[in-house]
Amino acid sequence: MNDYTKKKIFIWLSLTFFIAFGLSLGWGIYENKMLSKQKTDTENQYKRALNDLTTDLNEVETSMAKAKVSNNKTLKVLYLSQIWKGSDSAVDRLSQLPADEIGISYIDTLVNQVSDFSKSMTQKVASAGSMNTKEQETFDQMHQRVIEVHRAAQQIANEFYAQNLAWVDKSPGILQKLGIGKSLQTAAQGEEKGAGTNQGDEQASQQNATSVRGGLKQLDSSLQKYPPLSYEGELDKHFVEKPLGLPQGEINESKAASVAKDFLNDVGYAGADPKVTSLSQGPLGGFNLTYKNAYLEVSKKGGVVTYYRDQREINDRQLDVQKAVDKAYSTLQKLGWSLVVTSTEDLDSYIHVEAVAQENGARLYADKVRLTVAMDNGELIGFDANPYYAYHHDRILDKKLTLDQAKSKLNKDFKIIENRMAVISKLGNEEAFCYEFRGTAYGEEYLIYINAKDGSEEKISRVIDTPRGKLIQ
Amino acid sequence: MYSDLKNKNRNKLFIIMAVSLFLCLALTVTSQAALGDRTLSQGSKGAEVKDLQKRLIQIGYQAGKVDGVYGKSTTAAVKRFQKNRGLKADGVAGKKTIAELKRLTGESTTASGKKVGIKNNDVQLLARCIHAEGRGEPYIGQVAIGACVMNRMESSQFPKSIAGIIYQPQAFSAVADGQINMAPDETAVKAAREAMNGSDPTGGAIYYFNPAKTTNKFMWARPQIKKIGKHIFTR
Repeated sequence: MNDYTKKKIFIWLSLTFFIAFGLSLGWGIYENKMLSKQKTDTENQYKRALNDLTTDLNEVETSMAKAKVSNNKTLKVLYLSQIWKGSDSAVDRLSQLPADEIGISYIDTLVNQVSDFSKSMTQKVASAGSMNTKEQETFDQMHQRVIEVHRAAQQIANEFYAQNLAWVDKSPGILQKLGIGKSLQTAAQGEEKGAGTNQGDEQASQQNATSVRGGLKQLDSSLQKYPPLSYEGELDKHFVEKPLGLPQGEINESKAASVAKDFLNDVGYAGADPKVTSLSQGPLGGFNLTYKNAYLEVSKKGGVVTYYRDQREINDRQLDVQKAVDKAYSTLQKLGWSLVVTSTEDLDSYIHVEAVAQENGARLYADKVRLTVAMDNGELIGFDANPYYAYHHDRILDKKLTLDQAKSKLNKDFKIIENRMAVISKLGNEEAFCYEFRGTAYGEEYLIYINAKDGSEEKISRVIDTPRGKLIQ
Repeated sequence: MYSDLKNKNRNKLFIIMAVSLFLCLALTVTSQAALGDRTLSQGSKGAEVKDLQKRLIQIGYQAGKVDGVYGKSTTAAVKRFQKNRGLKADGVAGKKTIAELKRLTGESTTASGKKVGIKNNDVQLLARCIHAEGRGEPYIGQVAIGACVMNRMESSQFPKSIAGIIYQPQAFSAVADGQINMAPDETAVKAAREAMNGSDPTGGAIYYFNPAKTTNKFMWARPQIKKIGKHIFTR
């Protein structure tokens, strides 16, 4: 190899290297820019949510103060609905902020409760004119807590701007390691240190937040010192602490297997041999069994099938909706249930059916059973009686209004198609015994419920025709 | 009273309008054939096929990529649709199949027939969440994930809409890492529908975790209800 070729190779090599270097440098700079742009976008969204949150809390807090003193029904309802609107919006803002462990936040719970409570109080005050002593007490307690939360949230927002804090904790730099870093203390934490026996307070004061996220976390633990509100509203209905409808007595594993066997026999699995595969906890818990593709749950208390789902393959659709419902009826009868179907949804290879219990001709909407019916042969492939066992109980159903009196409460343009009695769920765990009127007005179909005791309009549902069945909104 | 001249003018106007209307219609038909004009089958191409694919996906049948080409996966999706709707399952989108598909993808109406929208958009989002978080789980396990989302709506600690819950920062790992943007499979769509109808195999759970992968103390400390598939469901 002579010098010339060596030189040539060297030139080409270095040229390639420089081009590659230049390209990767450019790529790096570009990526970096994009990253910082995205970071800014995210930070901006968080900032907006935080600002909106403080604005919302301010509105809620102010309206609460006003609603307290108002002695006029119209204005009180207005302020209550402002509280409702503001707290609803605050829940939404909170959910846009990042948190370490979602769903355990004190603020979340409080604001949700305020929203729920103000919603029911709006209705209450609009009809009755005022809150009772107990409700007033709850309202005052909520107000005190909202003031604290609002103050603390404002403090965070202020610190945030004053110190230009980032959202997410940075890894400690040299300054922080030397102990001269920025830190953020929330107002609530700073002031209430005297009462620092609380575990949350101690935790909060041990670590100083270097980010807004850390600040929110501290705020939350510092607020834990308030006892939880005793308010039980519409919320947290997803979990029933004390089911009302389970039969008495407890069963063992072999009894559970025989209960499941009988059930499977009635839905079309003659000679089934289900096995207990696991246990479940909670007030409706018990034994989980499987047989072929079917899964069943039998409650420990009362020994009843609460849930059943067959995951078998479904063959070509042979039935129409009415035939499938008829078949489901006869299966239910075999299983010992007497229910009335309230709605169906056609989901191609199977349909969903909702059925409720009746008492003296009154539909008990809370005591619901959900069914899934296969469209190839009409077999029951799904059964969920959890709502029924959670809410079914003996009710005292007496009415003060006659049918004609109830009819006189309706809108004049409303044309009745049919009517019956019904028990519907209200806010909280309350129920109302009502006249149910199905009819049309202004080109729409409605279900209107008139309270059978006091004649008030209890609820209105709108009925819509979807391609898969009627939808009640 | 009308004069002859006026009548003549009117006739002229009418003819011009009729001709232009006809031209307009003819042009739109040639430029863009609508779904239902002809029978579609494997090998068909065009805007109608695209429409067909979109509609199939809208109601939960995975017809593959929306590319306007009636390929194998579109044929298979049409076959499944036909089977589930009690039609002849031949994979050919004829008049009956297309009419049924159009009906099911149509809007909801009020009693007087006024259109009020499709009303099931949340199913798609919930199905994506279920698919991203729980694919590979048994069907009931997927319904259970959907039920957790639905239960959160009734809890005092969470936002009150499906989107609010799913997109809450740090709520679902599959949202954070972008898996939420994958197209859901048909099982996930079914599970989403079932969960939205209120079916709850979890017994009121609002959290779940995979015990093999989770060391998070908070998760382990929650009161457990039951295990379905790989997930433990907790309050």
